[in-house]
Amino acid sequence: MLDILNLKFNPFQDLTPSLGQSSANINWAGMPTLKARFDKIIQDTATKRSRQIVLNLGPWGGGKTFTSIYYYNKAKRIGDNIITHIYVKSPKNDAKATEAFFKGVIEWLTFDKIRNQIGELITELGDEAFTDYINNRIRSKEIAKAILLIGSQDEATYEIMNRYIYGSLTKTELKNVGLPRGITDNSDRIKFISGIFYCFIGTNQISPGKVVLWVDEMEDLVYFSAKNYRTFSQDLRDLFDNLTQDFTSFLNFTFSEPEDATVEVILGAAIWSRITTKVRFKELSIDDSYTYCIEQIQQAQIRKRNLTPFSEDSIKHLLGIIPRQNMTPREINKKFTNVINFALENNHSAITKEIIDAEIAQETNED
Amino acid sequence: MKFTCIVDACSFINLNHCTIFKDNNVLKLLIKNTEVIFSPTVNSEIKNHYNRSMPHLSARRRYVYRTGKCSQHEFERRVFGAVLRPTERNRGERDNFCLILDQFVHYRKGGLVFLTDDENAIRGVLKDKIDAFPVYHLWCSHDVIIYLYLLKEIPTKEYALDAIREIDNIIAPRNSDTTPEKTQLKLKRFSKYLQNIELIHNVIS
Repeated sequence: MLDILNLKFNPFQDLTPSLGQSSANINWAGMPTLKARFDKIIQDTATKRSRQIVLNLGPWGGGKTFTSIYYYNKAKRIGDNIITHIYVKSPKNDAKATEAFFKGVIEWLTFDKIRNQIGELITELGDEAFTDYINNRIRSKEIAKAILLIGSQDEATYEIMNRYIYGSLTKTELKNVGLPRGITDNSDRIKFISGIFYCFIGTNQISPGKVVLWVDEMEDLVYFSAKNYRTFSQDLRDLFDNLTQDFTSFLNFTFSEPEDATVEVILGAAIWSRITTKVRFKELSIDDSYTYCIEQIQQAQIRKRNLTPFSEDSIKHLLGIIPRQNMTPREINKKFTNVINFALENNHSAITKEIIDAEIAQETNED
Repeated sequence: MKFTCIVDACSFINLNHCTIFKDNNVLKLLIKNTEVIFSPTVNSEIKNHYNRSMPHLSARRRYVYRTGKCSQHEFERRVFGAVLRPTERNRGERDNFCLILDQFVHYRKGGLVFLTDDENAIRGVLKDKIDAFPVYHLWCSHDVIIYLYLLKEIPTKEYALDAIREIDNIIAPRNSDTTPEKTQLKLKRFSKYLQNIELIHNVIS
């Protein structure tokens, strides 16, 4: 249907693409400086043995979540390194925030993927060396042993360890697998996640990898009570401190007026003190918006012919309607999608200033 | 001189739930540092919110004030054009408003504070009236915390920030109506009070 407009797909699809969406239509457009910064951070993740904690700050619709999805799709392997991306949203229940975060990470990775990764390392290292590898990094023999057991090929142990993660084992079951206790508190949860991440980091020789953790909607910590935000902030800091290398975390924080002092208080001093880089997503300038639109259109065109179905004039006309303070990719996508849909409904093959005005008039009348 | 704080039911309840340290809540500190009063209507509204420990009726009686210049009904008629029915919306805020006017008109009291967290009442039934009498301060519960910090009753900046966080989540917790827009408004408000606390910190430290 979109071919009438010379488009393979709607380049302005105004919804944040889901992580499962085919990567074919996930294209970066405009904002070259921002892209260069992220390319460098991801490149450094792959090439340097460092830990980076990146705070992405910007307005709603500015492209932070899109950036997660873009790099999740485009940066799965760099050189010999497999990059494991984990995407979680900030917990909503502040009383059990670390527990929710823990579950989010496990569910994202899936138990089977974790088991396979551990199994691969055990095959290469052997039980003892594997346990030492984990224990030397997280300083907990009990949890290192539990992680070892998750890699077991024995089905009964597999079933028990699946439930171990969620803390639902009886004392007898724990005794049967030789574990003195289950995962009982946040400190255990953070050590456990750290250990799992180290399984995906591997060693230089065996399964060399990097872990990139995206935590979206960090601004929701504003809803946390004074006691609970501090606990969660300290738990995240402990996680970061356990992962001293081959690890990058991006914390997305939506705030239209990002004052550092406010963000620091919302996140808590513990997280704030570990941030190594701040990336600011800003409202786009007129020139940036124009470039963004042109690049989006060109990536979706069937025949590379000028800017059809748009023209230079019609793009500028439509951008002129968006208030300067709302000039974000999401707002641009919304307006352009409305016009594309209007053109399709009315069988137009080109989008002119007149068609844009007609769509705006219709929108106004509906209001 | 102590401020006279005319408190509405929701602020009274919110401040009672906002604990700062040990068992010291913001309401106790407000009562200690200002003269808290409210109308009989507000007293009845508080009675309907006994979901957590609340100062008992007998303890609250001393805060209940009536208008002196004329009766409450007469005041309602003069300010709002009619006598309010018992079930009338925002009656507590309206009667408190009559009470604060009476405190100035009849008793010539200074240092008056009209305390409410009901923004709908300010934008609605009290609109056009609230600015007409430049004889009182208009506060929300956040301002109480700022005031108590200024008095050093809340001893540190960190306690003040925690109290702002607590009261904000008592007044506007996450619920099914939470939207990104509401979160942004909450962040802006938090940012504003954070700046105020920083400014006060510079002045009093």
